[in-house]
Amino acid sequence: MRYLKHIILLLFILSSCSEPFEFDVEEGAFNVIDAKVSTAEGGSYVRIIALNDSTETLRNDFTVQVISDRGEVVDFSYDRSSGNYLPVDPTFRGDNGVRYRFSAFNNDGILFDSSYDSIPDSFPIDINIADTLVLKLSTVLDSFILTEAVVSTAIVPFTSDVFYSRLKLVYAYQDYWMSDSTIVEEIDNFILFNNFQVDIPSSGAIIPLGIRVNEPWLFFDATQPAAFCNSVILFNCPNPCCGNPCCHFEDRWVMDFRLVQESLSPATYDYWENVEKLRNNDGLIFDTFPFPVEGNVECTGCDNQTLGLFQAVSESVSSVQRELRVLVQ
Amino acid sequence: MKRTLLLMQLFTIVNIAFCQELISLKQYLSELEGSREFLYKESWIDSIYVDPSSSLDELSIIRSAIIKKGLKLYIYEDTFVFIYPNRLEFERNLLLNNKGSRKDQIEELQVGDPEEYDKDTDAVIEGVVTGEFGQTLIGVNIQVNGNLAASTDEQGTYRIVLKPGNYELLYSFVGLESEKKLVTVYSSGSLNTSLFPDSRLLDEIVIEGNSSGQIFEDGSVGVQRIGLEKLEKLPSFLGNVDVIKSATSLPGIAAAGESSSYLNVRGGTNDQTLILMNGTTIYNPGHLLGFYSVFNGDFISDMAVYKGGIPTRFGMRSSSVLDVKMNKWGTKELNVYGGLGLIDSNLGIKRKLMDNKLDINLGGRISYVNWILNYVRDEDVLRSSARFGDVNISSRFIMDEKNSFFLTGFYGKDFFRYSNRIIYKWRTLNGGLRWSRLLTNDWVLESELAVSTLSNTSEGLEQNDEFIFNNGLSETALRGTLSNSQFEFGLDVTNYSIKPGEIAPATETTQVDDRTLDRERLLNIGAHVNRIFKSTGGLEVNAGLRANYFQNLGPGEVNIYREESPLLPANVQNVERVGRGEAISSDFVVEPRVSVNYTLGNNLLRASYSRTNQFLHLISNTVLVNPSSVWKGSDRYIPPTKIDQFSLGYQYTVDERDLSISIDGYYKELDDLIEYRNGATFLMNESLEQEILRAEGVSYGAELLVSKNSGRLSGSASYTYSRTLAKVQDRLQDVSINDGEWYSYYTDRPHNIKFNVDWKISKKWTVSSNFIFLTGAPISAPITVFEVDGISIPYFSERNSERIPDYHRLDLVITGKSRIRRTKKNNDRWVLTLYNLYGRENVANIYFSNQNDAPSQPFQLVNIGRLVPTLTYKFEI
Repeated sequence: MRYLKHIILLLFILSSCSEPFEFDVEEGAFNVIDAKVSTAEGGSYVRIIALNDSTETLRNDFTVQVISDRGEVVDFSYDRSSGNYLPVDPTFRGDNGVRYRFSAFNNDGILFDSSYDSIPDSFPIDINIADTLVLKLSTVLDSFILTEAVVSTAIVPFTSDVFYSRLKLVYAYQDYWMSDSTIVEEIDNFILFNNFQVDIPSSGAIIPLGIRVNEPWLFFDATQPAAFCNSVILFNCPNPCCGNPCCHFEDRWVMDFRLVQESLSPATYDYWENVEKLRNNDGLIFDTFPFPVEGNVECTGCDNQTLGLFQAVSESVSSVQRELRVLVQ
Repeated sequence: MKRTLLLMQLFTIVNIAFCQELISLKQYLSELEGSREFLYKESWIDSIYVDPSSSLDELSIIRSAIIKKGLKLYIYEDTFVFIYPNRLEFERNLLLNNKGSRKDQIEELQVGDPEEYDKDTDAVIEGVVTGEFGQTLIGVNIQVNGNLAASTDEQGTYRIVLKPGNYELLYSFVGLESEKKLVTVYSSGSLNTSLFPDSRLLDEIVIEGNSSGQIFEDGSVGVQRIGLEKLEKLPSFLGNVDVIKSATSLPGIAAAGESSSYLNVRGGTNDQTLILMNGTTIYNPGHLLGFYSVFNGDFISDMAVYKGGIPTRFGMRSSSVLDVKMNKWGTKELNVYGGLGLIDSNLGIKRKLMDNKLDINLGGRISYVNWILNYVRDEDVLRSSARFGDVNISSRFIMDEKNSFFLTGFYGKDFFRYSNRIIYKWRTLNGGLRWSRLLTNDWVLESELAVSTLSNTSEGLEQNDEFIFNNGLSETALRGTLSNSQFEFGLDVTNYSIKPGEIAPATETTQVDDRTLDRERLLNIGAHVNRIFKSTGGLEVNAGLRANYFQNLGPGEVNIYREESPLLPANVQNVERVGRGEAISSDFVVEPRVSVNYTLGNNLLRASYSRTNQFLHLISNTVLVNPSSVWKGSDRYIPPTKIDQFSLGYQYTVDERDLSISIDGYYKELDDLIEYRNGATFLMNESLEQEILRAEGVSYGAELLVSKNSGRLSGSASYTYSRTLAKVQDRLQDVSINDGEWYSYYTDRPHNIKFNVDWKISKKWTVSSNFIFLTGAPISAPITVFEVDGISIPYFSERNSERIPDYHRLDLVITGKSRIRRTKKNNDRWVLTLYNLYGRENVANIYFSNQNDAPSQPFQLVNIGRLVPTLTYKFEI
């Protein structure tokens, strides 16, 4: 009887589950365009992918150009190491206030063409990560486990009333006992991504911005422009109690935080905002209604649907390093 | 001679042996008294004997015995069993119109001996009039050809002197159904009669005709009912009677999901079915996120689903009505009943008090799922917990012959915690008081006050994101109905107070801010009139009109947008402040509804047209409604959903086999359906009009039902083909969905096949089985994932262009009576339910996830992917 009870319970519990699902859709083939013109040197690229089910094939048979509304044509060539088309002139940088579009064609008569996207006239001149950086650590198995960090950030814009931006926070840690500050591991899981639209006061005050990982909400408080906003970065390790290496830090390591800020056009901002809405759905109460995100690239001569985005951005980077040993104090 | 003697001896022996097994029906009924009240005239059953050792159940034994004598029986509220002469018209009309009156049925009788006929000699007619319990009735008026001729005295007797001839006698008594008889008087004689409670004073009657409580058509177009006995045999999750899951066994009705208590009726959405519990509105019909329904099976006396031809007394919903009556009464002795299960248990009492004037039924249920969760070595499950409890009370007080009161109350509370992520809590508190007053012999006035409330709380638990979110609504309705067998007039005033949302930080460190959205106040004044025409040729027309005056009232703020501009934040010109009691918007709509039935022998042809408007919408971000979904009233920018439905049906009944075949078709035109912008968000959104689009739609289908309602093997089979399509070309919002082409609406599930079999193996054992097949629901699905700028992006298909896999499931229920004690009211039984017998992994939802470091990909949510056996012990003392 006792075993029967357990069997019944087990059957009940096992009855609810989530598992990967594959749609029986028509032989799905898509063209994916990932193209960017940036104000940062080396930040511009074009990537053309043939996506068939889950198989990606890089396309290298295209002639790729980025054309500005001033008539300038920037040629791109295929870079075998990265799989991207890169500017033939490696020093190429996009200009603020200029509109760009992207074009790629091949001998099969396929032509990808985007609409114009403009690099905003104005964008933040500085990004600060505050000196205050607190890491909460606990000791398990004689090593530290980083569970969360509190980061203060601020963007200081100047004259614009509204700007659109997205942030990417990259974490890395270095073993400073090793030579040349070798990066032990870049933690991909900790890539932070957020979009936000901020109404800037005409005074150009400091706008505190909070940053959250894996959250659909953005936190900033424009009513207190002089204050910094403490943001909590959660380290979502799959199972920190099971000794997953990504969660373990030695006290001799250095944390490197790099905040990448991109100023966007409203259209590009909308694209990323829609992407973030979908990515942040988690089946709970604040989910958004799912929908296909439409990009700005069209194809002539294609049999397949074209996905992706051509974006023109203004980029700023700021970084800060902190030693964990210090932080523990 | 010797041989003849031998045969006679043998016959005698056999006869004696046989007679030893037979007892009189009267004796048999007296032994069964207690569990049920049997109402009959002794003269009707004098010569009827039954075999109590038969393998049939009690009712079947009775039924098989009386049917040979031209008698029938029906059961009222599972307590009163009426045995009455087989007047086919009487029963048919009850089936055709549940609220119909028996007074139109005329019994033809003769008094006296034709051989003593002398047209010049006065004939004296004497008789006794008795009530439903056999008691004599004092003061019953007897009219002869429309003139008052006599009244019953203190002994319930009367005396009339008439010349021989043909007369129409009408027996009437306040609170009881009038009885009309066509009498041919030959000479002096006696004429006794019984009067039964006025059916118009009764909520609903479960008709049991020759059946054992099967699904049957109400006769009205698109109306189907399930009696209690049938409800108990339909498999349900966790071994409990579940009206919601039972309703889905009917053609044209689908559940919104496995773990959902919302119904999709003929393509209607979750919010388009009005769910009533004794007249009070249920806004969240589910416990445990929908695995259970809020309807306690120990209270249910009847349920009716109006799929089309919705009576004019119902408003505020555009698709259908699920009307559940919770009036299951006890006997003079205290009845304690209950059930013990692995997941939940229930307990209740019921009895009659005050010389049968007061009925009361009080019961509750409680769940204990958590102990199961502790057995699972999964952190998320260990951190999860779920529980619910509810209490029901139903009471009836018959104050006097003219006045009756009905009280109903329900309180339900749910708690569901999912790991360390979120807690859902919701509470339903409903109450109602109804007063029925017989004004004259024919007219009844019913007054009702009904209050319904729903409160939701969601608590976010994720670190530094802790929040408490509250929303809900309350409804207060005052209704009055004046009716007789042909007319019905009604007025209802309903006030709604909706709390759209209130969010507050749950901890000091959380980054959630306090925010409260304005309450929404709605008022609906409805009036209806209904007329029933009946012809002797089998034609019945039920025509009515309902008018609604709906207002969305202040105080509140209304966005004023630039003229002819999409309702977007950028187009807000200013915000208008509307004062308390002032109208933000007003709508006046008229809804004609008509149904026609034509009966010819065993053929029934029916047709109906109805228009309905819905001013209250459930705004939800998923097909599976979560407890925090928002109710929203129509306002200046969100018009009511309007549906015109045309139905046509045909039913053929084979009397001898109690077999019926019906086919119904319907066509609906849907205007101003609720649709959503791409990426719409709903919670804490004070400008929902910016997210909502107006769709036009069409819904059509055909429903075929074959049912065998009696015998040891009974059941039904149905097939429904239906489509529900929508199109969005919203010029106001300057947006279209799927390029403005027709697409499958959320409830579009073309093929729906259902089988139900009930096999009475013996007096002790019953096996029933249920099979459902349903085309998978349409969804917008993540069909691929690609990367841009290092970010994984799910690519969703166009709106509802994909479908989740088809749903099908087979269940088996085995019921065994624990003891057979005919002389005592014992109804103890074990119920073994094998839900999802072959372990079909039916997909409830498909979503994209990039959580938990897993690759970004679609996931399917399977709620019940295994066989779920449950064992429940039901008892009644």
